[in-house]
Amino acid sequence: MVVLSAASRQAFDARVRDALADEVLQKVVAEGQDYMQALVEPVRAEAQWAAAVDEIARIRAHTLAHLDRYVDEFATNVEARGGKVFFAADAAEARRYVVDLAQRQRAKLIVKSKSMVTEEIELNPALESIGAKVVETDLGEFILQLAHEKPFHIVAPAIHKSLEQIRELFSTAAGRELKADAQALTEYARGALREQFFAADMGISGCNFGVAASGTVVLVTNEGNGRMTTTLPRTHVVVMGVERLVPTFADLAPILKVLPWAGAGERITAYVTAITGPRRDDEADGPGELHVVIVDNGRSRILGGKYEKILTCIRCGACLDVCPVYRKIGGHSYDSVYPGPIGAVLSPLLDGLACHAELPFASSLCGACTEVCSAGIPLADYIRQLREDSVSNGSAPTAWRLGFQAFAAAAVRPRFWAAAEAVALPFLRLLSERGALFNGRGPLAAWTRGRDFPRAEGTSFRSQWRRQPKRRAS
Amino acid sequence: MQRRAFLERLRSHSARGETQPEVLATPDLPELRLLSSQERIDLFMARLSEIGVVAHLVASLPDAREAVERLLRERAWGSVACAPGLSWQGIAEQWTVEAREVAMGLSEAEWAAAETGTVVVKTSADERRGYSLLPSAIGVIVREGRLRDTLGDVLREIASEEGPLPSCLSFISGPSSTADIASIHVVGVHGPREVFVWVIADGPAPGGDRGSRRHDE
Repeated sequence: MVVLSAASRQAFDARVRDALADEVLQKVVAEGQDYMQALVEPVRAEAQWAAAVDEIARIRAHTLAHLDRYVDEFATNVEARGGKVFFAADAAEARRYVVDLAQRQRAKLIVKSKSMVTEEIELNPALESIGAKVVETDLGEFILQLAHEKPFHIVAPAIHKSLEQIRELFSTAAGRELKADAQALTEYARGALREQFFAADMGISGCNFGVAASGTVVLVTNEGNGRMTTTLPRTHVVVMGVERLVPTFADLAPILKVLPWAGAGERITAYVTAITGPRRDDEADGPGELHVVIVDNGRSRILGGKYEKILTCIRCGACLDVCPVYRKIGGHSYDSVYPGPIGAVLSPLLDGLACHAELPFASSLCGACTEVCSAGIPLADYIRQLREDSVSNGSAPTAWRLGFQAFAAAAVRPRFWAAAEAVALPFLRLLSERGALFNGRGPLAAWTRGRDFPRAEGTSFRSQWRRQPKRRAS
Repeated sequence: MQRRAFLERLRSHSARGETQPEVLATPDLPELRLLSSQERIDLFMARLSEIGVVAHLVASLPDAREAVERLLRERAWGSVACAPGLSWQGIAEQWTVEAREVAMGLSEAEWAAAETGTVVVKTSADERRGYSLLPSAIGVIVREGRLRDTLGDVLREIASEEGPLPSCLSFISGPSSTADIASIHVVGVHGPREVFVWVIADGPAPGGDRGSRRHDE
């Protein structure tokens, strides 16, 4: 049985309180969400969109059903084109492979393009522990690396940072005062990172999609750092979740239609890079070695189970951009690599509910995430089911569990219910002033701190029902 | 982990059942269908301009070369990096194969997609990855015969290619950009800041393929 630690609950509450008190965060996250909604909403309403989402769901479900076959086909084709494939059962195996490789190749400087799975397997600290310098080159990740923070959003990792905060970080790194101007700051990063790209011994990227039929790694990017990372260093290492596959290039059509809109509010990203094997012998640039690390790390456990569809996620971030809870508590409150609704489901499934017991409760179950999901994943249903799981394995908050036990006991005993009602309603009325309860005490305090509890008016539903003239059954 | 054990673990968990067919049917999407080559070019030019690409329609390869030379003169750009097969006499002294320090890289597109304003550059012994990546400005020549209605059309053609794919296919839609700093859109991050496209109307394609094939034909 999993027991929720009070310390973990308190830590979660503290992170949420910090986020709510952070004025910059409250402003920029709301602006970011509104900005994305304005761009994406009209497109999402088109009939083509729903058709593409259905196709994505169909393609991804098929791929998962035959995942062993597609992984085999993909790996065979990567190898046939001269790439090396490593199968990592868990994070530790994946880390060890990349670290050994870096050591063998005496890689001193490693450039990375944005990858969630390398965050998941905590690759950077492992590489740093052998003395390698690891440089994140996605602008958002670069900001976070300077700030020593984790991604706040899966598509826009530094969305919570204000222009001024970024100016300060970059000025410190540059050793001179930079202007608070996005163009000038970007220009600084371009110059600073370009040197790193040319000097790097190894480039590490993620993989948006792997094409089984051709052994191709597909990267969807905007900044060009993905292309630099996979072009300039002599070795390219791809770290990918085992579920990232599609059968053929043709299956990318609906995905590349939806992903750029849902993730960045644009028709297409500046770059889609399709890499099939390392540089050929007669080619003048590109990495001489390509290593593809296929990571399971808990995914096969999800396969075939009631949460399987979570593996169809295309990492567009749409669920984060509509979630009212994410809007208020931000990405770091989740304390998981994957924040927002996708994280509330994926992280407990990958790491175990015990590690993320609070996450299924960090949701209002409003269903906005399910509505916008680019792969048709029933995120809100999954979150609710995870709550059920956490109740049945004992990891739900104690007060919450006791509350529902009391409710369940009362709800099936009409007399007990009526008695409770007779006491509670006048009591609540007594506590309320001007039509609502503003400052509750005891168990009500947490609720009324941020909202008003409306005063109970008139009579209860049950007594009204009793007074209603009896209708004959038709 | 051993490959066999890794795959076996996936196999033992996956619930294929009777419902999942062995082979996935090609995605069927209600996609854009353009009626004439004029419409296709018009949309391509409009979309290129929307995403910040300077695009010109020219009648022939010599016209495209002239346009490139004019741009180089206007900008006072002294050097260009491109594949040997793409360079031409007259300004040959400006051509170089080193993409790192030059003002502009020049490439020819293997495919292009009108709906998204995308050009697809294929890496080869001559076409280096750096040409379309490292210089501050890049130019791409697109022959009309290689222009398709949608990205989906291009992807389906790639899927039906015989033999191994090139080591790198770069789908390029406009200059490199970011919104990672306070959601402000900035053009020119790690990749090119400027993209120029010259569309050659009705030119013979590199593969000898003339005109555009319609996917649904």
